[in-house]
Amino acid sequence: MIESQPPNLPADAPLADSSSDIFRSTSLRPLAKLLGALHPVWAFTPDGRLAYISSACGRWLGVDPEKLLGLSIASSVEDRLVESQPFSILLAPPSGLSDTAKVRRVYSPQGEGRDCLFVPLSAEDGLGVLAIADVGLAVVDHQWSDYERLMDGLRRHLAQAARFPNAVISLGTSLRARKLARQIEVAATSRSHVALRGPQGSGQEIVARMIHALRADNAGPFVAIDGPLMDEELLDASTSQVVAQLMEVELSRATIFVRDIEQMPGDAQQRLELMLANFPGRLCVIASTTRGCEELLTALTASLATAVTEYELEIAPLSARIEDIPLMAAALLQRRRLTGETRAAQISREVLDRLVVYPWPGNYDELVAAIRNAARQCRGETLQMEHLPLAIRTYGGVREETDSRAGKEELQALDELLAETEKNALQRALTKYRGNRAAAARALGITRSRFLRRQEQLGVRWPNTN
Amino acid sequence: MAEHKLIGDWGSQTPSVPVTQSPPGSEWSLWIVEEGTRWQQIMRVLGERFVGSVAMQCCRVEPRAVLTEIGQPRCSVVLWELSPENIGECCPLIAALSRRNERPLQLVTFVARMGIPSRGYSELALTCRQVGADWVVRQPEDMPLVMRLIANRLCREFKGAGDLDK
Repeated sequence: MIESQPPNLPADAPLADSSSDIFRSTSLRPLAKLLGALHPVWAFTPDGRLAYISSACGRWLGVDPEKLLGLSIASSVEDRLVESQPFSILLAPPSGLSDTAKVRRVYSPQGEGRDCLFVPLSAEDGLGVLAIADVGLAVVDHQWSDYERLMDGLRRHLAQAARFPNAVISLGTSLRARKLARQIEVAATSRSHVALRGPQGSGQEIVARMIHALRADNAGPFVAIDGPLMDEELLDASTSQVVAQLMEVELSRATIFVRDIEQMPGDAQQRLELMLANFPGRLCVIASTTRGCEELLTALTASLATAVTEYELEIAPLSARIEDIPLMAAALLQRRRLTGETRAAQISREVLDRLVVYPWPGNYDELVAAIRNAARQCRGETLQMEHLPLAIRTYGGVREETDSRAGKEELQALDELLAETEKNALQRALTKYRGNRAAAARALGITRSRFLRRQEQLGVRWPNTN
Repeated sequence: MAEHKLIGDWGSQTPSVPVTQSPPGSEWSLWIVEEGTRWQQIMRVLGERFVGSVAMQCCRVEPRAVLTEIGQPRCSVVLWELSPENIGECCPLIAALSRRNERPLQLVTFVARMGIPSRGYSELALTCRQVGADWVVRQPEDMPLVMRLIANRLCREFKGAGDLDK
């Protein structure tokens, strides 16, 4: 399983403060160390890299401080970036921090919030910002502006979302699941463009977000756009903030996820191509498509097609991963339970059987929706058949009904076949014995009365008027 | 062959994309989550002006009701007016809707009384996009461009419906 963040540490794990060479040479080191012994403390260099993080901070965030050292949140503190990486978002100082100290509530991935004081430092100190959690904030006259409250709400959501990495799609023991997990890891190790090929609903966007989250610490923002809806102007407008950031901050990076890139109009393709040329190695495109590489080469401009097919990752339809479905369903339910949406903790055998039998035309998205709806309806601890969406619940029943109807048609056909055979036999016997029904009955081995009854029922005449 | 009709008019910003004549009885729905009625009034006027060939159903909804209300009609657009008070409630809903199979187009704007520092706007907009919003609308003047996006979406949806009918 791929984790988008380092695993949580046990409360008693031995941790030490971590500091970079820059921090060791600063005059603020003794003060920070003193504060760090009591409070979670961290410090950034002027170019926005984490230079010091105390062990108390590591314990609060549930991560080894050593792993966070050097994490980039900006190349300048004032124009800092919004990172997709959870810890970059969590630890980043508030916007517009220039002369006066500011307070921001910071949430750990576990949801524990603390008021933190961010102190801007001068260049002579060698540091950009020093952050201290839980210090006596009464001394700071701070008014939360509406803007800060809004940003705080958004950050809090992103931090909580990062707590539940959406790696369910690559769960499983099947060959395809293992291949998908491996391919995601490979795609995350480089900054190359990626084409995600798979049927509709197979979770391309989730895979794209996973790749982005797993990439190096300075992966930058992730912006998704609908390829078919774009034209030149719309593409410019919808990516304007990303482009502005790439232009303003020299080392920043960004990822654009393009849904259904093969249906993107030509002018938008050319504009995207131009953007990639303007920011080589910094702007990355992850594109979802239902077509293969060769077809993409005909649907896209040559340069864009070459770029996005640098690395192709195939996502199999869910129906091809039957053995993974129970595990994925259980993981999705567990996730719902952890977020407090449901009490249900397990799935009944009957439901699991049905999930495996169902063909999943909507692929992974349909499975997610089915578990979400079922979890909402379930009041107990076990998901039962009645909690499943109607289409899935009745799938087997409909098939059985169809089968029985087909069987009925087969029986009717057999009756007709027998009647036809019997009619022909009666006709042939009457012809042979020139209308003598007693002789015909004897020849067929039945009584005369039965012969007469069947003759009447089947409408056999002699001489044959038909 | 489906007929095409040019939609709307906004001076030089006339949308270039024709909306395929919608199937009979079809409509698009705009769900607005806001404190007052500001965006409802703006969108009623602009919606008719820009996407006039397709009936628009414009409703104001409570954040909690969005998940249950939405999803019935084929084409849905949700406009979220975010404020410091409703951000906690709206964020998970925006994220949840962005993960849906039949994903609606989600526009985000900010409550008018809020003063957003110009340096902070870009950061705010990017963070909203990361949560799951498709577009961040700063002011009503941005709407012609957004309407073009909506028109493109409708065009695509109704073309799809036409193909299905065949």
